Amino acid sequence: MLALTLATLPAQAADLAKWSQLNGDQKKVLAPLAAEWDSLRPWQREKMLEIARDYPRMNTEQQNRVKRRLSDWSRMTPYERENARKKHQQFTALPPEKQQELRKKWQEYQRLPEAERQKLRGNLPEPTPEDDLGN
Amino acid sequence: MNQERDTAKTIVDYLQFGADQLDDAVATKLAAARQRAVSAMPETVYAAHAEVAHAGLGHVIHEAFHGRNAWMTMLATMALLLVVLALVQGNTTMNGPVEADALLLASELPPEAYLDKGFDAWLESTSEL
Repeated sequence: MLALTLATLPAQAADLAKWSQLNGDQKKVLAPLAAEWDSLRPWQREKMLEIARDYPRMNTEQQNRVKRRLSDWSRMTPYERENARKKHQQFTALPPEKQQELRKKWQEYQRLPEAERQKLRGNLPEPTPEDDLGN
Repeated sequence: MNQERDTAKTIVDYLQFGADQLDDAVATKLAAARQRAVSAMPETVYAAHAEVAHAGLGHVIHEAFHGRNAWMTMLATMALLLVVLALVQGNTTMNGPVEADALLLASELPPEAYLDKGFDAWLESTSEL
């Protein structure tokens, strides 16, 4: 029975792969990705399905943020996503007042002219292609 | 687990409702059929049932795990454990912690804030963070 249970796991994962096979709630959350869903890698779909699973437990504001950001998130490279995860972890480890300060700084940075932000981006070295590995 | 209990209760309620709706004639026929089935039961089977009914829980458990059919009991126990494990895992998955990606996407600071090299440079030049 254990073998039977384990044998059904890959089949279940494969069943979840296609957009047409997602249930109504999953489609509703992942709608921004509908057009590109079937071209996403299996592990990407798995991550997105995890987000869809957690979505009902978020408040309305969080849900709106997730919907706004899903599409850009899916287009990031694995390196970018992993980098964002690590930095998010560092951010959440900060004391609340530091987090608030950082959020305020982000707002201020967003108000800078694009040319100035572009100039600031140019001041740092590009990541090497070899770094673009992993999840 | 609550969901399973609720489902079971709903089924029991439906069955009870159905039983309550039976005509007296049908109920009488069913009772008579049951009586005939019990009467037709072979003596050995009836005796085994009677023995189990009167032996007490300790004896039944001992027989189950040490008697001739102990392997069936073990198999049934393993199957039950697997079902419980599957239910617990399913429950954990549904109610477990929100995944890191979901938290990241839902947070006030957007993912691009962590990746914008210009923001890093600007922070370094303007603050002590």
